[in-house]
Amino acid sequence: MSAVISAENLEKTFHVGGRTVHAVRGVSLAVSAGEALGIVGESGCGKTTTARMLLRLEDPTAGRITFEGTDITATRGAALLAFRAKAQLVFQNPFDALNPRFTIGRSLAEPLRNFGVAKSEHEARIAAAMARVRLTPAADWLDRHPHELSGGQLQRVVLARSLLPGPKLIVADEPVSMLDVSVRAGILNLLRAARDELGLAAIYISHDLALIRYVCERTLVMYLGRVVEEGPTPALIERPRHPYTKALVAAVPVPHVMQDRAPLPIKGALSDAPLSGPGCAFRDRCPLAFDRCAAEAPPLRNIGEGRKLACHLGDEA
Amino acid sequence: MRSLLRFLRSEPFAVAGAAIYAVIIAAALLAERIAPHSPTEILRANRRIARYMPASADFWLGTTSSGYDIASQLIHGARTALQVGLTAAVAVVAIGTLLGLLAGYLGGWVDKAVTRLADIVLGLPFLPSMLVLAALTRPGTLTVVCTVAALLWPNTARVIRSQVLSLRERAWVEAARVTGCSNARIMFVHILPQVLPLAALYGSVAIGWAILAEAAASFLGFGDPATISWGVMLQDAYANQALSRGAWNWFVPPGAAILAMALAGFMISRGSEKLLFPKLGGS
Amino acid sequence: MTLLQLRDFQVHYASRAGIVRAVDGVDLDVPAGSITGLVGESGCGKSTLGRGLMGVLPDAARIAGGSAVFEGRDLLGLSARARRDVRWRRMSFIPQTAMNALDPVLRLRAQMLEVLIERGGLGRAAASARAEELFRMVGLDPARLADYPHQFSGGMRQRASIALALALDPALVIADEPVTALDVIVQRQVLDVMRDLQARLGLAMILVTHDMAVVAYACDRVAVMYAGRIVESGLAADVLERPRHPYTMGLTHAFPDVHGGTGELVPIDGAPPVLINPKPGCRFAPRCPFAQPRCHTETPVLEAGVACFRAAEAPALRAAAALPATWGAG
Repeated sequence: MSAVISAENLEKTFHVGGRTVHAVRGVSLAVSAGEALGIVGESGCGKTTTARMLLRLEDPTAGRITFEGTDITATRGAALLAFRAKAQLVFQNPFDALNPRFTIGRSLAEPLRNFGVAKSEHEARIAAAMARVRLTPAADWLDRHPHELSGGQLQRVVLARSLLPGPKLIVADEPVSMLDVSVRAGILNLLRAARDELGLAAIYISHDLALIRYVCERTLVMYLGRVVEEGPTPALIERPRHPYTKALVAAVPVPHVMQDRAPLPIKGALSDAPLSGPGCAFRDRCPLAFDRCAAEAPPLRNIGEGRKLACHLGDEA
Repeated sequence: MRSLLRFLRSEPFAVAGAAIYAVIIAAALLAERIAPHSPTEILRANRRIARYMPASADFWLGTTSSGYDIASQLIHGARTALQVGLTAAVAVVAIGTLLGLLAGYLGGWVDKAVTRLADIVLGLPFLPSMLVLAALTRPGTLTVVCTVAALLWPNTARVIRSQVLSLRERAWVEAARVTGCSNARIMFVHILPQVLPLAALYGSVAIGWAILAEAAASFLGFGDPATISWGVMLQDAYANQALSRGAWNWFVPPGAAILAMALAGFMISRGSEKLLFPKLGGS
Repeated sequence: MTLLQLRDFQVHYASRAGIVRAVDGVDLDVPAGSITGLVGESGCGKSTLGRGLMGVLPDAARIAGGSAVFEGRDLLGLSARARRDVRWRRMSFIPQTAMNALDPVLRLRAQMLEVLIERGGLGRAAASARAEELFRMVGLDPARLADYPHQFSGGMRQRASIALALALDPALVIADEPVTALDVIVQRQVLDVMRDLQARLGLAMILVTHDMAVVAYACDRVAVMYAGRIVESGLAADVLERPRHPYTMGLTHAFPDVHGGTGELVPIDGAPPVLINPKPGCRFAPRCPFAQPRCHTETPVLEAGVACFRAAEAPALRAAAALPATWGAG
């Protein structure tokens, strides 16, 4: 088992005002050290809920999460604290991710204090983390409050905080979507460098396939709580197999004037009454759906080259 | 500093309230120096007990039926008023904030229990409940403070709870969890400082209520007759039929003082409400 | 034909620290029947420019100078009433969050009718027919006119706010980050609706966005804004494929490309200047890897679509800008 974190058949059901919402239905994944996995999908597809379950911020309704060989699905107390030190999160909104009343230095000392790092080591470890995110000298930043920093600087501090406990896994939920375009590349490069140099397992949650292409070797496409396709990112983007992935890739604009502007191979919109019962959840939007798609749900299965697909059309291909 | 000044200028109510407090605090601190007489000394004039003296240079507001100096009693009464008001406020803030924080952050059965209890207490009529409590325990300012705290915490707890409910969704609270903070640490180190200003606002309202409660309790005879307070003064005046004797100088000043201090608390809270929730007001 | 011509257009904000020159002397030509992308990072003044044109600025902001000639008349010279009339009938605005354009307590039919009857002077029956036509135009089922905005998804709301913006047949539509809050598939669908309507109705559109790829997908022309000024403008094909301003060059390397064509991404170090009493000189000079002494003292003007002293060396600068080391990234 080389996977840092793995999940089997994760399920999450919410009860909202008498209605039951299946946010995540049977998601399995594994990420090994030094590897970056992307989870893409539209809002409401369950990607963020999946990430929150992996970090034990949300309890799964069913399924199993294994971290470094130990089942952590229901762990509590000291064991949960030990897991927290090794599994960190980079937030989407850097303007909200730091306590507004704490100085940067105090925010950075929080994980060290909570995870029992000796006080004498704090200064050196904070300086090292700040150097890693290129906020140097650290002394210039530690006494400031979050409102004095720009979005890019804040996200660097958030990244430094997540690296301080010495994690084995970093989850980044839309890490640059709130940032200015000119600083996004800087944050992505820092995340990539941290993963490479520290040998971290990384999971990126995003709706942006271009970002995922830049940082993840492997990608998992989610639709309405299910994984519909999985595989090495370049292959998945250049030769998508699932009709949903095809639409998702086709929808991403590219920064060149010459580009494909053909109508998207997809019907309707996400909120048009998600289908329940047997059958493929995508069948009402799928331009290629046929009888079998309504009768039975396609299972996620291996199709070679390290790829997986949940579509009946894969049979013929 | 400049923004404080601008705020004061835009909030005449808050300024008036603060001015009243300043006068009362000064009176309480400097009572011995300001008051012309001891409030408990039976004064004499022309070798006789100085009963019902009118206002004069010696007795600024005249004297009572027992020969006490009304002005001196009024000045010393500020101490009791402040004591009662501030301790009640602190107690209300402490209980309300603690319960609101626990209910809002922990949710579940804690939330249900606190909310239910608050609903029950809010349903109790203030004055009768206080009198029952005062009658059951021993009279005195401590009883008054305890009753005010016991009856007024739900308002604070409710607003703190809803504030905490929204803060709990903030990313930095989640960040605190991810970085290993215990629930207690998240509540008391991360969230508490954010809600304290709001709690203080409700505390200033409690000051006004506490003063009124103390006066009412004393007036109805549930107070501590040995203390010098505005309520006891009113009760004394009433018992000696000051009204029918036309001794305005006896019962108007303590009544006005009670009203002024209670009002000041409400005025300050009104003003600071705009400071804390600028979106509510027009400014 | 030039539909809108801005010359030295200025919008100032009053702040405690002083006057912020959010839009500081913008020259821009918007031809009829085109989509112009107005692109730049947050705080560059692109939204303020759009809002200033529409007269929907916040209280602290005001148009401080210049001219805005629209259909042959200078908007700034008109009476407040005449200006409002032009803005209601000939121009319209699509905000980033559709909920800002839609009234949450009114059914969409009522909102459409209000605009068509009150402002457009249509009769009730004609207005009703027009409302249904507009919904069909943006790809919504006319039956959904009976719904409230909260019954719509984000993409449908944005379509509804486009329908509302097109109600009175405007000549110019200003859209402020209309697809930023949307998922990628919905974003593409909304962009397609906008492109399609623009072509069919022959409108001119100003699309305010931070996303170069959205500009590349949807716009014929582009104006790149930095620190309150236009630094480069022209045909999208020219500006995106052969940028001549270093800032535009930087932006083209700051974005990932889904097909992996961008290579190593390069951030532009530093931050835009504060626009209170800005220093003379090119405003991008402090972040520009190609700045010369002159750039810090003299202000380059927008000439032939670019405001840079080294525009003539553009091909060489482009080659250098493609290297991460140029931008100080190690």
